[in-house]
Amino acid sequence: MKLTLLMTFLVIAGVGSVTLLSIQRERISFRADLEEQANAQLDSLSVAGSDLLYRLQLSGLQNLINSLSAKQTINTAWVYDSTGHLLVTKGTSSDYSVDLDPFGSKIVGSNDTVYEWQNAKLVAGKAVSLGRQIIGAFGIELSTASLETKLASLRDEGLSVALFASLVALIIAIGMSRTLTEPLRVLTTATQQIAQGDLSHTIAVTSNDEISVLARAFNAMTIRLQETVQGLQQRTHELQLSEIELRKSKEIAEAANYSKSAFLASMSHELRTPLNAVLGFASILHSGMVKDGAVLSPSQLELLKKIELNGRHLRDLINDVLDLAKIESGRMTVTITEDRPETLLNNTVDAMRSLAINKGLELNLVFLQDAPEVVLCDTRKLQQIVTNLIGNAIKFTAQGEVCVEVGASGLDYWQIAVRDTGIGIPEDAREHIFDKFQQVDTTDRREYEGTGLGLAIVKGLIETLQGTVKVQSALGNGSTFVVRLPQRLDRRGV
Amino acid sequence: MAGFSFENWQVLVVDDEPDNLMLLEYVLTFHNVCVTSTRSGEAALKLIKEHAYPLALVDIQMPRISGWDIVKRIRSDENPQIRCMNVIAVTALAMAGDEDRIIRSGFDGYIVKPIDAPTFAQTIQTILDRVQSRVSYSPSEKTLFQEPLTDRTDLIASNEA
Repeated sequence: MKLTLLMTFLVIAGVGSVTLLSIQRERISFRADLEEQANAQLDSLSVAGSDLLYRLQLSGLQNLINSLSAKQTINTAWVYDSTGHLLVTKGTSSDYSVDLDPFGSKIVGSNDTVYEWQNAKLVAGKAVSLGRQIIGAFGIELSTASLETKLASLRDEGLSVALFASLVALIIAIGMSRTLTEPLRVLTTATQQIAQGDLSHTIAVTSNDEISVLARAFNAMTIRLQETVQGLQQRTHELQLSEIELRKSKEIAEAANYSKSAFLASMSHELRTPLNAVLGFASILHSGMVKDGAVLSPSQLELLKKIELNGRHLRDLINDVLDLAKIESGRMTVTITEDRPETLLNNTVDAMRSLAINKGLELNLVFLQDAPEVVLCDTRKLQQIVTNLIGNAIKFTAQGEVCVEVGASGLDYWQIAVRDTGIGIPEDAREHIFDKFQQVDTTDRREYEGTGLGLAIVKGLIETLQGTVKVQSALGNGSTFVVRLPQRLDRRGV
Repeated sequence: MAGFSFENWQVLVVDDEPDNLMLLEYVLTFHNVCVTSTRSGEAALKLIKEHAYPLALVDIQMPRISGWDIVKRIRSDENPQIRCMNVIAVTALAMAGDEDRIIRSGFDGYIVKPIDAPTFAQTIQTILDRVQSRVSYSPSEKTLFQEPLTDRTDLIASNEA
């Protein structure tokens, strides 16, 4: 719209100035023409009137200038003497537009034709000379009316041309704005739509100019953008799909884990129930809680002991296998409480003392000076670990002592070392000692009864408590199990 | 057996497994405890309504009405005598977390199967002594009876014996 107005204005200004210029030029050329015409008239008057003027035949001069009236353009004429005094005039003095006498002297004093432009009139005068002597002068007044009409018509013409040109300019400007701004508007709309996310928008290319080049580039960009977005969408979709897949397999794994746990729980229950009757009744027989007071013979008692022993072994296997399964499935729950190692370990060691005494072994508990007073730990699991290690030490020690030593280990850790004077562990067996169903010498199984799962469970429990276990041993020189645990067990790490 | 004073105690024993029920009955009656036993949860609830037993030994995993249901009904009974009766779980549930669940659901304590007859008799004596002297169980003592029975040391001990 601005462009349209500007263009129209420019066209009007252009046509207007051209018209004005041509009017001015016309005026100048017309004046020159009129001056020439006046000059010619004056010349012919000089030729015709010089003799009359010389002889001062006033009637003749009067006739001469009167004859001029036939020529329309000459309004009036007059004759001067050699001094510039008026001799003869045509018409009355009121007709003259100049003060005639000063004009006369001006003419007489000039060699050339004198012109004086008045409003719509040209006054011209020329001296007449004979030889070198000025004998008088002629003056005429020409009308410029024809010029005025001519100029007026020229002005009107110019004006109408300007108007027409403006109209044409306006039409052209509108047309141009259509061809120029319309594609730009289309481009703007398309950009806005793309900005709003509508990538399906394309611009129709109709012309072959710079705008269409831009439109083509724009369309190409849109297509690229569309491809990119589609690629992204597809990628997102794929990601979502794989996420769903992942979640599904996670759910399946969790369900499997859950059913595994449920299976373990029900297995534990189902195995214990008949075992309860077996061991319970065996213990009734063994302890002589028989109502009729019947006493078993020594050989019967021997057999009963075997039933009990194997029943308990079965119970322990069940316990251990379930513990291990629980550790391995990561379903071991940790209950963190604040414990005093001194109290806790004294209780645990005391519970094992009778076992040691039965074998004629010493069982000692030593607290080093740097032993922590308070720790954050899972009481039940720690007891299980220590009980298991002490039980193991007693089991594999024929004579001497089992010593439990408690101290600090680094800044944030503490350690429990269970040392025995037993048979020890050969070097090649040391790395397998924490594996399942591993005992140092399988031929000695009868001698060292056990499930073979104890140390695997111990290791699992220690790892659940974010600790480590190491073994130092020399064959025949006893073993030392060193358990290293954090002083403050952190729930987040469990 | 000397030292046991079970006489005149009326104890309710509930277990759906006949051999296990018989085992508990056998040990208790051997020590002159009067035992009322039943294999069904429904019957147990009915018996509890009729008599105020000072102690009930209840199995947990039972068809239809479980030990969970029984203890829940006892703890929400309008009769304060029933509501406050001593209920001990005798169960083969011995997985980690079971203990917490059992104590939280209202049992006063629990004994894990398989049981050892002399240890079981000893445990019952302790419980009845407490009931008699009207010592109520504090939450930390509720697991009292679980420990000695799951202690593995008894295996090693018997092994050496």
